[in-house]
Amino acid sequence: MQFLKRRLPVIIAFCAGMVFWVQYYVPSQASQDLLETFTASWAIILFGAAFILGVLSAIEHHWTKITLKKAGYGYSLVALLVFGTMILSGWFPAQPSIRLGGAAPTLSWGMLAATLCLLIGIVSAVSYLLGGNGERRYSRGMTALVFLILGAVGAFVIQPLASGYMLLWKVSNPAFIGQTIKPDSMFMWFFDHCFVPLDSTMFSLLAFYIASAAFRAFRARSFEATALLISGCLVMIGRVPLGEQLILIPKGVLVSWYTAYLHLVNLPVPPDLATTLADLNITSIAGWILNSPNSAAQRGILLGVILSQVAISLRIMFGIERTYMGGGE
Amino acid sequence: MAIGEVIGIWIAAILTFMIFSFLYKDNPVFKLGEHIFLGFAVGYSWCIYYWNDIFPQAIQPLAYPGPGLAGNWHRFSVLIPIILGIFIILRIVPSLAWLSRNSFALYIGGFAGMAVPNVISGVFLPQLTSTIAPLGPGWAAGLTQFVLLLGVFCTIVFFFFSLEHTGVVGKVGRIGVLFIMVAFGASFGYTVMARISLLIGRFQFLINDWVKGVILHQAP
Amino acid sequence: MIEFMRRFLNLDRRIIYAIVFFCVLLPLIYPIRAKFTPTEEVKRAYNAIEALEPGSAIIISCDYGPSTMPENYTFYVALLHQCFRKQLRPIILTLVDYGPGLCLRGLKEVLESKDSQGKLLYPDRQAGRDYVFLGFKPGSTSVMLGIGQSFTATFPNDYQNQPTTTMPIFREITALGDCKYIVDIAAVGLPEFWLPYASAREKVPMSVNCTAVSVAQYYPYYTAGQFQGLVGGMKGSAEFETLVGMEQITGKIPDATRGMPAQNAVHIFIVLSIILANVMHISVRRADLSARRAG
Repeated sequence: MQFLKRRLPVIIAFCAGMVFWVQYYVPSQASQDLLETFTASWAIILFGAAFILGVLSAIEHHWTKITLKKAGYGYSLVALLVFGTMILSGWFPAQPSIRLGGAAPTLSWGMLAATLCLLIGIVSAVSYLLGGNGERRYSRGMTALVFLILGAVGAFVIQPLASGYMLLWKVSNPAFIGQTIKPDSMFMWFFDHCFVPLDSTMFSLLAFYIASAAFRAFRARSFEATALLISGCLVMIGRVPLGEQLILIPKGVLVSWYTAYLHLVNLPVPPDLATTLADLNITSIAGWILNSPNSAAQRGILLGVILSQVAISLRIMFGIERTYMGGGE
Repeated sequence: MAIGEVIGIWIAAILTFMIFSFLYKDNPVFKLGEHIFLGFAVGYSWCIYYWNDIFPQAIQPLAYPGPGLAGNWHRFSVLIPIILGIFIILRIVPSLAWLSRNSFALYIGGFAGMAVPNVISGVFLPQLTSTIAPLGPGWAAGLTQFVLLLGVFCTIVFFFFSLEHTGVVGKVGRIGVLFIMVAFGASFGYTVMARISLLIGRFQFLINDWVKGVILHQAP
Repeated sequence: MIEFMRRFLNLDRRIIYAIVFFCVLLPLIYPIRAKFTPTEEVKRAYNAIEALEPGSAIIISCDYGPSTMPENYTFYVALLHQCFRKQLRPIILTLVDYGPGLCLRGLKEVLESKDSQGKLLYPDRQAGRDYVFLGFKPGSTSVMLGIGQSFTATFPNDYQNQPTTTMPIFREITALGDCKYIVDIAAVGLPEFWLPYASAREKVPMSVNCTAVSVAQYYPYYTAGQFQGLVGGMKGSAEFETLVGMEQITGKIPDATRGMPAQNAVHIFIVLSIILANVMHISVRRADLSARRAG
């Protein structure tokens, strides 16, 4: 059993690593087919399974919070309700039927009502299962039963009969792939008007924090910190339109200086000198900083990272690095 | 503007302000918005993964093979990655979690092996070649190339911890630190730009779509 | 004076938030036109795509989500306009799960855009022949290697579940090596995977549009010539919009360009606040030092 639990994965990692390392150097069709099978099919399915694991873990975390009634479990309930709504709108294809007044993303009234009944029924059922004894528990149970029946009948019987779709059958019909994610579907409506603003706003908060940090925390306490701040300020000004307007040495002066230098060293003056030289402004200084010293340091770091990447790959293949196996026996 | 769009923009604006409320201090409205976001994110990802990955890659070849594949037994080869995928999902069952190690070993080992030749030939060697390229043409390009070469060398010396950073090595390392600080400063400058851009995007929505479009009924 | 500086250095962060708020809001309400010239990095990206022959296939990988729309989506729309104007054939895919919605939105916006006479700009563009949106697949590296072998094996269907084997575009373009260019529009670190596993491996040149957070770290690739062009952040997208001529095409100022005055204002505020805070900090420190010496 120890062989299956600890040794076999190491052997698999080594064999897989060596096969795909050697595959790079073998140009035969069989080698290309092997790569295609692994990357185009197997790996993509494995990533999907890893995602399912992630979702199940997230649901389990919030479900545990709700069942144990930990602090803030109401928020977890909201998260799971919203998750359920998104699943209903996207996993089960919602056919566009009654429009909310125009050529806009639509919601089906019948489906919305049935979905809400189902959700209320599920919440009441959870509450019933978690609750204590007595009258309130009984009434929650009855509420759950009523709404679940209403929702199920509405979603799986009445709505399909009214619109010609039988929901359960259509779920597995491949003709529906993409319909949930069409521009005029309920799913895309939620994406455009709920998910996009939330995601965008979460990240835009950082603008305020970075401004606050710039004022309150960024201090030139040493020579290196001063270099960092000067470089940062030059790039900040250089990479906005203002940077082009802050001219340090105009083009005409640069052209005359360079022409004088070329005369001094007896070199010919290029005829297109006036077009090749430009104003020395903050933008050009920022550009030089990015192309030269920044590029140099980033390249030095990059070379180190690549070497460590190779080292870690070798450690994984030879079984020295086993963190991917997780804990336990 | 259709009523569905109007309701959508109002909901988007309300959700935006719910998140912005965190700027004053942490509060229940923000927490609610945060958990709504979480629900939408996971639900959306689930649907996308299912319809773009799980169904076409795993379920469709077996259950709905299509006219070209119907008699082709090769399509059953997807059962192998499906079984490996089930092993991954079984990680949530403590007694069976060990099965997932084989699946992780396969794809982590496989991609580790793939990474070595690809990264060395695709990234490492071209970067080295570019670093030790001849100086020039022209003094401006030559100066830039020299600074690049000096910077790369000094940065690598700084991160080389097998030698004690004293004497010449220490001085070269200090020059490397200077280059690194300039690079981090440039990164900081650009990071500020990135964050401000995201805020500008949100304000553009609030001003153009919400205030002008919905409240003032102006044309876009 | 020193006491004033000491109190100023401990300014409530909410006052700073309010100043940032007005620095962003006012230029958007009262727009001022900010003049700028496209930088060399952006010009190279634009010129590389302009140099492609009509009918060439170009991979557009939209690896970003709603959080970076001002930087990435604006570039994506401008790029699509350039591709359709040049009669290139974009093969659009996404390696992040938040990408499909935005890809669809951008495609719809560009394909439905009209000229000043109200006629569609690109009336005869057909999915499967002139462009294709393949959708999302997880496992970035495996997708890149997969399309290096075969598009149709990696993406058996496009996003609307049409089989890719029957599409005219994939009769000539069977794998990544048949494409003429790659553009990665990335909010995450995927350009560093596109390079070794796709561009270098299949010898297809590439350019990158990335968020400003990542730009500085991609300069080594740009200076080495591995990325032909580097369009960074909202300023880069604004420069690209200028080169494509978005204002003439759509008849209104594009989003990234419109945001430049606000960007100007906030950057000036932040730089001035850093300088002011450091000057005050040094003054306060010197005053404290001399007080300690005297005392």
